[in-house]
Amino acid sequence: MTFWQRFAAARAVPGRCGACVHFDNEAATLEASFAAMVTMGSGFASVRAGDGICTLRGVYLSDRAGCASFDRRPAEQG
Amino acid sequence: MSSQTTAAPGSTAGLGWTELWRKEDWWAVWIGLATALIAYALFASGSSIAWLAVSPAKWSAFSQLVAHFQTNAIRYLAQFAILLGLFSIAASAIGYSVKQFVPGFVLVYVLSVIVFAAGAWDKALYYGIEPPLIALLGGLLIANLIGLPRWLDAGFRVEFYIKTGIVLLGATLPFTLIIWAGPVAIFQASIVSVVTFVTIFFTGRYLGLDRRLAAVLGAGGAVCGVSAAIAIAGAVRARKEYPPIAITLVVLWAIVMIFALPLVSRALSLPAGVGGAWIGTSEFADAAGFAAAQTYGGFAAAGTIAGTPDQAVWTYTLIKVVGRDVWIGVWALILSIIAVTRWEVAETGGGADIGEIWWRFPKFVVGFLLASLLITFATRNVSFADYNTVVRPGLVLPITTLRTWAFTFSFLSIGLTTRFRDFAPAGGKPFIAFTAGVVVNVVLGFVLSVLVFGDYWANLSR
Repeated sequence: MTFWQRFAAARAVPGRCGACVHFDNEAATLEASFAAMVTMGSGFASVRAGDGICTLRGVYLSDRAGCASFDRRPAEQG
Repeated sequence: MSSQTTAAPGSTAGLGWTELWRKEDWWAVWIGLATALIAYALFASGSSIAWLAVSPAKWSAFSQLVAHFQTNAIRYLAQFAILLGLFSIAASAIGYSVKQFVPGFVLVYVLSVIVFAAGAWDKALYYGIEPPLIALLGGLLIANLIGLPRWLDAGFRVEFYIKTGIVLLGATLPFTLIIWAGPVAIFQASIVSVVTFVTIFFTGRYLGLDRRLAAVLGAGGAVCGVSAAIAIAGAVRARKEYPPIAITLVVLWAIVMIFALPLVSRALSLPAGVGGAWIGTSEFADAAGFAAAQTYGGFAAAGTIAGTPDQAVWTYTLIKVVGRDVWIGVWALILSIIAVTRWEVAETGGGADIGEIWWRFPKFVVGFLLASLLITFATRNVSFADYNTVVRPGLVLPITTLRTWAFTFSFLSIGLTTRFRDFAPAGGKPFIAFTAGVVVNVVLGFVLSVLVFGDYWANLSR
């Protein structure tokens, strides 16, 4: 595959992590998960953007990533 | 499965404009800019924010210090109440627990008063009492020997305080200086960042580390410490075990550098601006670097090195904030493209997006630049003499004092949140790879700051 084919293939996902039930990007959760993060960093900082942890794959990634195991999060009530 | 979707809490997709009041970077901008605006408005109307920007004056006998606090008690109370109110409002909007933030902040403020008072003692320099180092050491001792309830950490927001202080710093840094010295700072910082990243990455790969871990470590050492490590971990889709490894190494080396860089710089009699530039090039995290730069500026204030305290902080800021921090989005974009096109095998997708550059942009820098532009524009027609006799005492120094409070909160918070027993074990290979980068970073930083651009940084002034 060429660079552009790989690039295009990477974009073809059924849904984004930000809307997936397996994805957790609560700042407080991340600060609790990553030991000593608050010492010189912050879960509430802009540089983190919307990154979070995929609880299915054990990976830390962008909320705009996605994969074949995407499972849409139901709408929150209220 | 529902046909409706919700963006994950805190996602860039879900935040949109709400980022303006849900990220601590923007709250640092609002608080810093509002302070600068109010300070200027009072100054322009013939008054000053100096009444609120109180801090202990120089004292030689303890009775003088007691008298100072008795005389100014109402000013300290007002300052405390306003800072508590502002930070609590921000904490609530961002999502910290306000109930836990308030007692944590109260402790930070009280300890900061003690640090300020110790630094104002006329024998402080004789005994080597530098307020940033005292704040850091005091915090470390309390956290590791005495121990504090973990919920108090809600008030120890290292990043929030330092970002607020950086925006206030912008108000005292002439915009013309940023325009004039910014390109040199970017040039110097870029060389060191790229070389440091390449060193850590390829040393890590040579030692057999996963390329994502090598990239996370490389960014932590090359760009902006913990923030960069976290950002790049997300960009390259690192295993969730990788960021804590980088955090451990960044924090430990950053603490070593807080003490080492000012002391070595002083031993070499580097001028304040040169020492600040070296610290800006070779420190890892913003807060840690400000502790080192402010300490080095303190040596200038005492006359033990050439230059002024401002020069140490200004050159540090230009290289660290303007030269390194603002490029984190570009690093993230490049590495995410590499990750999805070269490293990714089909486990996850989603591509890379040019928007990374803005999404990950450290927004407090916007406030830093705006504050600088505002005050520079407002004082553009003031003569040098009037600046020193009117503007400086009535406008610049009070903002500097408030900035020093914010920085002290941050330095204390570094110590109070550094519990060595909590650190993730980094492992030998990551340690070697990161340390190789530290060595290259420090040596190359010295060569560029002292030997190549030494005269330039030594003579940087308003």
